[in-house]
Amino acid sequence: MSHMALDRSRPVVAHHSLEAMTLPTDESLIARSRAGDASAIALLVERHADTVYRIAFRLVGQKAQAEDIAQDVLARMLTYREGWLSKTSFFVWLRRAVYNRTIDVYRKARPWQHSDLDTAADTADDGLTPDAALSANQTQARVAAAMQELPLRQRMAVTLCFYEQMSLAEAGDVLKVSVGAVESLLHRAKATLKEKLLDLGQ
Amino acid sequence: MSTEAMNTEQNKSDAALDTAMKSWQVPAPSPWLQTRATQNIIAQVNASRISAWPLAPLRLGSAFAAFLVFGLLLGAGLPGADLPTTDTQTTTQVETDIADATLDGDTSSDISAAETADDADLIALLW
Repeated sequence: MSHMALDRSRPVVAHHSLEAMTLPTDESLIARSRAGDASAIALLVERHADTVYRIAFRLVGQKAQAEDIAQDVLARMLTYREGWLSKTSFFVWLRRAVYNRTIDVYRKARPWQHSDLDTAADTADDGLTPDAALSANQTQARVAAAMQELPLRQRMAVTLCFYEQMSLAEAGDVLKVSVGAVESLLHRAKATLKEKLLDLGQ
Repeated sequence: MSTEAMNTEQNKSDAALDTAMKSWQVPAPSPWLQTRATQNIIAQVNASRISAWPLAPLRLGSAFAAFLVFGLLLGAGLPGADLPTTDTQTTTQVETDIADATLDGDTSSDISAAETADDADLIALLW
């Protein structure tokens, strides 16, 4: 997991890009959405739906549950307010909302049983022989299962830093912990995952 | 095992874990996810507007009331533009009275004398 190495110089992608600067900001879209601008609402959803769903899926490992969480979080986007009391950017707020919503869901119900068919992406078997597809699906299912065995906070740290390529500082903002704490979470997660998935590389 | 060999082994296991982790792909979300989310938000916004509509006249009414009060205050202030002068005169009159009283000397003893005289008349009347 080289991506989880402590590379603080990694550039932040997507929300700080030059392209993003020419597009309307999330805050302006939210303001327009509140005023009833349907095109702004559609753009806001289009911009964030995939990210929200993706993070939710990494956290819960199940498509249907991830979609439910994504629906809830997307529906609450207009409640975001930035003021002198809250300096949280929408970028951080949205990811934290997914995390918090997942915690809520876990509190209400026991963690869901894994379904191999659900946790393994359907896209993995494109162009593969049946044996290779089966193997790929099994690998995915094992990774998904190993991720689900991590404590939620470690899972979120791995999701943000490894899968979403966020910096340690950004992940710390989302989780409301220091950079050192994120490093610690990643270190422990890596150790557990290695232990669970050691035989996959052999 | 030498340090170099340990590092090589470590790198190999890191790479294997990296590959395994990357193999876990996210299945595409259902096509309705975005559509439903958009519709939900639009419904929310419309609902908040509908619920806010009956309050609109009240808001207008309160704004008008505030305007009236402001106008009344402003209107009350305009004819009284000479009020400060009156106040000054009153103050000056009071100050003059105080000064006169002071020039008269000990006003409290005057009052005591008058009270004593009144008392003497009363005693005489009673007796």
